[in-house]
Amino acid sequence: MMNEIDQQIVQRAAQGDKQAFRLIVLHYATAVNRLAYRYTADASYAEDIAQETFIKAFQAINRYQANAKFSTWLLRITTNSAIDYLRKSNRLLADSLDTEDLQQDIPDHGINTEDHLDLNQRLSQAMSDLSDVERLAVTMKHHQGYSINETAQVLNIKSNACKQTIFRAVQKLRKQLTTGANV
Amino acid sequence: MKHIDDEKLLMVYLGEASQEETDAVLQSKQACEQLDQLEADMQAIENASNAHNQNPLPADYGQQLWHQIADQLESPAENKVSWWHKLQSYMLQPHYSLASFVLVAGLVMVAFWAGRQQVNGGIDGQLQEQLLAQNIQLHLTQSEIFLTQVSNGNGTSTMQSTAQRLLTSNRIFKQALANYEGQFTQQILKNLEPVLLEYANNPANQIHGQQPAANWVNNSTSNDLMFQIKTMKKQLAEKNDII
Repeated sequence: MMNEIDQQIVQRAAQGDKQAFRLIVLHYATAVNRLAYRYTADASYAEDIAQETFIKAFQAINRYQANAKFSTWLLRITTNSAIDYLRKSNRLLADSLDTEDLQQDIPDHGINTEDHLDLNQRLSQAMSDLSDVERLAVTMKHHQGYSINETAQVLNIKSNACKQTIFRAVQKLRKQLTTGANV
Repeated sequence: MKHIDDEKLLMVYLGEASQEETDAVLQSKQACEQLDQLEADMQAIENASNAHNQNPLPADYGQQLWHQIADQLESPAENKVSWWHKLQSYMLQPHYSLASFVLVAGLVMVAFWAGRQQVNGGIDGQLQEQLLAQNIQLHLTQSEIFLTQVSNGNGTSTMQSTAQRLLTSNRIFKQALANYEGQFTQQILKNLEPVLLEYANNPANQIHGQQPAANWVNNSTSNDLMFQIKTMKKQLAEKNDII
């Protein structure tokens, strides 16, 4: 559970107080970067997305409604920023759903026992090897708690396609667990 | 287990299956065991993602991020306030009201002065002088022809009206020249005026065949006047300059 910032600081920031917004950045910077990294599996992308998220947040903060958690609102901006960023960065996203390469399995890192990759490393590598849309879908659904319909809507794909994408991603990740158990 | 069952199981785990589907899955012992395994796997995946962070961040990452974006932050409130509203709020502040009044009065004065300048300077001064010079040249030519005709005794019944027209033009040009420094041109028009006036005021029959009392042909200054007109015409034709 994320520790929420004082609501008064948010209110001051909403009135244009940059020092109050600085406190918000200090409070949530790591969480925003980590989520951006989950979505992209790229440290450089995560850094750019974090910057973009806070710039957008400052511009929109007077529209934030206090009945929702501020972290939920901010991480939604992070999600949207990540999707926009991946779309802009020529990494095939929603359009790539029907392409065959997405059906390819993740390289089985567990087979190569000489690498001595532990389970966490292999799972992390497997996460990186997912396609962007798979990583986005499974992170949004499993980590961020979006519904299938919300995830589909944000990714601009059909609901059934979204279910299949998440299922495929989970299968790939679980395969690493199974391989790890067999090693 | 079949592929479709795995997908259904995942939807149950994710809370996306209908109540009926969920109930059906939970009735099967094998399905429950599979669901437990799925939950454990998903938890392991989550733990792995949290534990093995390939993107370690420095302790002062928030501060670094703030330095990177601080200059780019533009408040929506600042954006929404238009320049007009800023000016309006400035004007309405009591301690600036007198200054605002002075500012507005100053702007009105400047606008008035600029407007006058635009009217006066609308036509370039030099061009205006050239146009006047050309018109005076034409007037002097017509006057010379007129005077030559009357001196040769070739006056017609229209001579009086011609003299009246020339007299009117002469007075207009004389008035126009009052704004210029050139004295010579103005002097010629002054000399020409009494001659034209005399012919303009005499009946046609008097002009025709009988010279007016102030017959300018016999006047000692007539030759000088004709000479002045010719010289001035030449000057105006060559230089377009009022002297």
